[in-house]
Amino acid sequence: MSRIRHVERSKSVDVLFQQAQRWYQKQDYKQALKDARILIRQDASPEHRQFLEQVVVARATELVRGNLKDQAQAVLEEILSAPVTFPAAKEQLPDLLLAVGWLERFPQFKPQNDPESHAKFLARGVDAAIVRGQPAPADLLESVELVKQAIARIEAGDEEPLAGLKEIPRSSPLADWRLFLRGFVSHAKNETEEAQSAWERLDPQRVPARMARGLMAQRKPELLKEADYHTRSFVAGLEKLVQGTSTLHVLRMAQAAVARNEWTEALNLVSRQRLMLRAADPEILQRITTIVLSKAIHAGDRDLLRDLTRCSDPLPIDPTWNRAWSLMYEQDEQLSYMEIERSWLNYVRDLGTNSALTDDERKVAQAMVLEHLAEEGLDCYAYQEDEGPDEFEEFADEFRESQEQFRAKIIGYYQQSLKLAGLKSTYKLLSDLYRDEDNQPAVIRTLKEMLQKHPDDQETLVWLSGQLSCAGQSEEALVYARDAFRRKPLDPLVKDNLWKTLRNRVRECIRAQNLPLARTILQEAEQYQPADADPFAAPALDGLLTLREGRVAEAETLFKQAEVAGGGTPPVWLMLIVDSARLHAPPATAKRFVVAWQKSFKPKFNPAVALKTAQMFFNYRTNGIEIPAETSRRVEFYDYLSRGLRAKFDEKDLQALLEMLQNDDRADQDLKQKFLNKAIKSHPENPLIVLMYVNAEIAKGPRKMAKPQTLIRMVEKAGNKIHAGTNVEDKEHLPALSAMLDTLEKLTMMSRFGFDLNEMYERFSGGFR
Amino acid sequence: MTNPYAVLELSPGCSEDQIRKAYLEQVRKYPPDRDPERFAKIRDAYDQLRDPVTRIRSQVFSPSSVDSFDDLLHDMQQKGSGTSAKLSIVSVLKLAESL
Repeated sequence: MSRIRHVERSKSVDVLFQQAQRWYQKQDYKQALKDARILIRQDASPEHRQFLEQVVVARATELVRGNLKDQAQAVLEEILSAPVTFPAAKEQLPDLLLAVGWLERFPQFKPQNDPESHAKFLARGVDAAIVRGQPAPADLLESVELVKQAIARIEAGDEEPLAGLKEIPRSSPLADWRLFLRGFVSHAKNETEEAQSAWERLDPQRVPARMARGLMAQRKPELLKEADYHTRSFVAGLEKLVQGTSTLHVLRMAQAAVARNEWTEALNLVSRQRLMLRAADPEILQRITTIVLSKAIHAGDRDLLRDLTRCSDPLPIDPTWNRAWSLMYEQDEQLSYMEIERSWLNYVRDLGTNSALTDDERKVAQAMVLEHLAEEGLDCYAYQEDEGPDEFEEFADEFRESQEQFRAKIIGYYQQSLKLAGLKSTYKLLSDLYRDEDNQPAVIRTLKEMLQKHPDDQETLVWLSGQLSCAGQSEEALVYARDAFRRKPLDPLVKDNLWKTLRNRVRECIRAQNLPLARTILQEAEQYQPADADPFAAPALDGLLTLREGRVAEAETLFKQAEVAGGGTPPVWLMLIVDSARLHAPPATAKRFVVAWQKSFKPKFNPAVALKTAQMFFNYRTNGIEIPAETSRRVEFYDYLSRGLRAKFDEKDLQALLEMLQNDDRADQDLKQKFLNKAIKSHPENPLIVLMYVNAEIAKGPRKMAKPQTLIRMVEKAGNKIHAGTNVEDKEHLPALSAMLDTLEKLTMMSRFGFDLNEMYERFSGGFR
Repeated sequence: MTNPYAVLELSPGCSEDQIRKAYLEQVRKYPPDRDPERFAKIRDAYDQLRDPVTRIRSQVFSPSSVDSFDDLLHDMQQKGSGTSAKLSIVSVLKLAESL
């Protein structure tokens, strides 16, 4: 009977075991655990015990995943009273103990022969205790407490928050926390290197190291490239902590879109997060608007600007976007001045009520826009002057009338601008305009008005004194020249100006027969003579004054002194010829100077003397000073100069001589061409010489000019040399070379497309420029 | 070249007084002897903004070609890191629970 019972019981235990295993395989651990409990009560065999351990671990893991730690603890309790023997359970148990916060029960399961994994387990336990507040391993309880206290002190802003951590030994699993906190404190103080040096020593697998990586990546986004998902989330969380929201994330995405040149995409991204970005920092949106606006304008991208106006707030300086559109229209070469002008005038009107500016600032801004309109208008005016009909052509009168009206409008803009703010720049631009028109009284009037508004402007004081001198008002000129010198006595240009003004005053006094005053002023002038002044200048003028004073012998001595000082070269005599006419010297004296001038060309050709003489011709011409019998004097000089075609010139001297000849409209054209040929042959890569040569060639027209391809090669060569070199002065010629290349290429294209360049040149007699 | 307003941590449209104050504050933070490079940038920005005429001219005519998304991101990161002194360690530990 008992045997039968035993057989039946065994049979039911086996069935139950098989049933429990089936539950386990189906992952119904709850049911499997129920059967395993009955099974162990019925037969506590080692096999059933191991099965129970296996099921308990599976069920506890399931509960932990569901965050049911208490229930997981209760389940685990069923196997912890006896040693766990099932290998897989033994392996998983430490993690489970950590997860349910049962670190203190760990020692009974610690792997006796594996100290490394024990240390790792302890470290994880410590990290969980600090980060998640789980119970700490019993023997580390005190150290964990020290770390927690340090954290509380950092949070409270304690100046010495880490003092208590000194007791933690280096070998302790808490040592990483000590290093992390030390790094955190440095990081908070922006001491990046110190933070990095502490954090470099952390175990990379542990939580402190991962936190440190996240904190570093917050400052150095490039570190995020290789970061895992958790670290990325951690960094995003940090950004939210710092800025309240993930501003940087949005900006990074916009930056990436911009890098792909997808500006509209960037704009849309920003636009969708506008409220969030504004809340994080109101300045961000303004900066983004200016960045996108800049791109739209520089690229002439009207669609982008339209998108911007639709989805962004306008900038305070431009509440109705009129400024933005004006800047955009200026990029469009197809638009007329009138269309751009209309847009800018709308902006001037907007500025009148702009609340982002003060009253004074509003006026300054309006004045600037009007000044800008005048400048743009002036460019347009100059272009129309070049392109318009000649004096005797059809519609010439109508054209002249409309140009006059246009000029009046430009001047009107300058004057309105001056009325609003009286900007220095506007006064200077208006003076330039009058100067270009040779309207000396208007220049002087404008400069005087400017000095009333800006009495300290040194440049204007000097310029005005020069203008007054040229206008024969040297007495008044002297007032301004002295004022400038009083303000800046050490400025060599100011000193030079005073000297020149005084000498002009001397001449005026001589002409007015006020010889005593002329003598006094000449004596005063001597003390301001610049070191680099022509050494013959002082005795030459003194000699002429002395002659007028009637002291002929003394005058002769002074003329001799001038001759010696100037080496008897043509410049000495040219100055004496000009001044003797200006100062009404006796005709015999003047004639004697002419003879001396002619003789002075006899010695061997000297490039420096030639350059100086050319400079004097140029200066007299520029300042409107008459040279007696100028044509003859020029013929004599050019005859001398032609001897220089075979002479060896220094590159700079040759360049300067060419500039003088080029800018002097009375210079001999044939000789100028010969010197150009000489210069281009000896210095084919000098950018200025190339510019002058090619300009002269283009001006000849297609019948006579060199082949455009040859000229293009010449310009390209000069350009390449400038690019390869480091000369800053040379680099200034690059835009002119580029424009010239453009003209030459257009000519080549026109010729290739069958245009008769000669015919076109004759139609547009101004040439191709 | 960097946006002068960003260097001095100002918004366009600020007053002369604000510009001066911001300049002095930045100089105190980054004195020339400690950070000459940064100081040069600060000085340059101040020079650009101190003259009202230059400042208004740049506001009106220059659509801020000196600024870029790179600069903006850099500045925001700097601002972010600048406030990490106030970054709560407790909040950071809370975030680290996911690590």
